[in-house]
Amino acid sequence: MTSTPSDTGAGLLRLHPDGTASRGSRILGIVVLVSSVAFLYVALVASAPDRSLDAQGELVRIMYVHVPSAIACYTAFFVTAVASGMYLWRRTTGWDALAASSAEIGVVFTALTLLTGSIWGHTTWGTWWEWDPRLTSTALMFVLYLGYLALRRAILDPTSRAKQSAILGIIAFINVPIVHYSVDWWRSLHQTATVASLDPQIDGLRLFALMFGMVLAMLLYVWLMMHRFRLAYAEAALESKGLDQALAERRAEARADGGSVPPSVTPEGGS
Amino acid sequence: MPVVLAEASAWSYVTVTYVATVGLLGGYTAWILRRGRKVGRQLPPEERTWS
Repeated sequence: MTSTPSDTGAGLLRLHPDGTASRGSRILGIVVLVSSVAFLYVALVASAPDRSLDAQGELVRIMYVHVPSAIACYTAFFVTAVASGMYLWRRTTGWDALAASSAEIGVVFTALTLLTGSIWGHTTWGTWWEWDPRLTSTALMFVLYLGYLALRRAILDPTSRAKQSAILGIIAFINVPIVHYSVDWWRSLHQTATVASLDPQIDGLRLFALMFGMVLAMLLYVWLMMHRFRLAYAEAALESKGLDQALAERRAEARADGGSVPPSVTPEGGS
Repeated sequence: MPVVLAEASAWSYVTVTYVATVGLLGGYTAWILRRGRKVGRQLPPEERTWS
């Protein structure tokens, strides 16, 4: 089935013939884009600065990005752990691609969490960085998942790469609850959860902006996952084709030399 | 006057935060979409099961 720009829809819903978009992802993309504009209006214009006793003033607006990006990276790494477990059970490329895609998006959201937290910390605590339990465990989480991505690039054999990555994807997730509960388990400069209780520390339009940010971050995560997973799937398919082609060439070379085909390049050899 | 200056300074931090957020997420999104098109072009249409 070949698709051209003219037969895949019109206007904003037109699909790029070669890309990773589908009609569903295009619709979700438009929803995310429109919601982002609305979110910027609510977060930067409509909501009032914090004038409470523990006032953050205008800086509270940083929280509308910082907290949702932290929630998004927790979600992404949870999906990585589940998909890694599913890969070890089912051994299918799809679960491996799902785990890898989610980890990469999680790393982007973690970088955003650290960046926005650092900016907020500089204005509130007077320092860009503090070796506080929450900050340190978040930095560790960032490095762990960077290591996960590096491991995927370092191993050439797809089966070995998927297996070792899946094991690391599960082990690395142990740090995620430590990050979340670090503010409760140890004395921390970082504040405790803002909306985890029935009596949230913010209300009104500020609470709405924070919730809106969380929903938007989740929608963005799902949309990014749709594209990143399809990209990973396409890369895996091309890699598999490349291996098949290399094996066929090696067999042809062996036959041309008049020798026997080594077991490592026969189908039974499992190479 | 100091309050006005403090609020102006706070707004500069808020602006940097939102610009960095849009820049990072926008840049990553653009990378995924461009790479998707590049890789997708090498894949036969029948294997692009999503389209």
